[in-house]
Amino acid sequence: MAPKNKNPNGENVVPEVQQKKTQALILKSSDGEEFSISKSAAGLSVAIKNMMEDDCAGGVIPLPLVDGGTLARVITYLNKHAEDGASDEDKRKFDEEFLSGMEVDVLCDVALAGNYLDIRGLFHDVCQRIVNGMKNKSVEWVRKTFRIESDFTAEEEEQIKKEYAWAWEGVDSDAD
Amino acid sequence: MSSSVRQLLLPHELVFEILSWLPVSSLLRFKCVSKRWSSTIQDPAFVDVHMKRAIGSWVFRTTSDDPYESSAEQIYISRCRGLILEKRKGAQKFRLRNPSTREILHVPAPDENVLCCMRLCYITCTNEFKLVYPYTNGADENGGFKILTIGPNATWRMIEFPFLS
Repeated sequence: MAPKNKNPNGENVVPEVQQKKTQALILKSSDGEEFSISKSAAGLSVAIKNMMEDDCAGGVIPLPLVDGGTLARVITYLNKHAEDGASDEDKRKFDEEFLSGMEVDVLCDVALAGNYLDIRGLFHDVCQRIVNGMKNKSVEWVRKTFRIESDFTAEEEEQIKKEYAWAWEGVDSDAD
Repeated sequence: MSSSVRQLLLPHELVFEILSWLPVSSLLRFKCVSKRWSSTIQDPAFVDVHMKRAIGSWVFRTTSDDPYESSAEQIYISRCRGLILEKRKGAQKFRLRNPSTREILHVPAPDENVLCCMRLCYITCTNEFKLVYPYTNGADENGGFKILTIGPNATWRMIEFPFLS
């Protein structure tokens, strides 16, 4: 389902027909985009479920920590997982496809949203994806990708490298 | 979340989560990323979480470096929290080995002739590893335990075993 639901920017969007059919709740992103979602799909997020139960959901739930692009992705995920008749195998295949096209930046945004909205399955899968993507990478790749500046001196770094030289064997090249 | 000026891609609690799923070889390499990453990777709380997650993959991880298959002159004695206690064949020389990081620590020789009754244990509340073995004074059958806490200047100390006397 993911590949069909893309806007011209290649981002996943919630199909309009589906929006009308299951309208029950509005989620509002940090940048003011509104998305409708069925209560059953929204309830897969423990955080949203709690907000619904506390009745602080006067129809619109503001999510100030999730931007529109990320929220659209999360909703696509929730809709699939709330779908009647979707088998575990369907969901597994969907998850695989859903995550496979995402760059690390996007994965990190989805991980943050999954953590914030308390969607354990999504959070876990996204983390695994990030882990698999980085486990054979170089230190330089990790710094660049996660925007971390080294605070080691060249000597300190050399010392760690010397101590565990074998851990530098079989590292992927940074070209990707 | 996707503002172009943000400094780090991930808050540190998510970094912790992601690191906790990585294999040891990646972690040893990523100690170089920054001081914060290095201190997280060495933090006992992190090691604890990482070890629990690694249990499932332990079997695969160790096929090439089996804890029970020590190098030819070493005998496997005891194992605790990923560390292995080994004894050199025909000598009172003991060592701790971490097969994941490939580190080895030699232990001060015990005063008595210890066969294979030495054990390695971990004290959660103090985050210490200790070695312990029972001993007896041959003639009057007095005895007790000898204990060593792993750390700088480690020495064997004695705990009497009153009900044997």
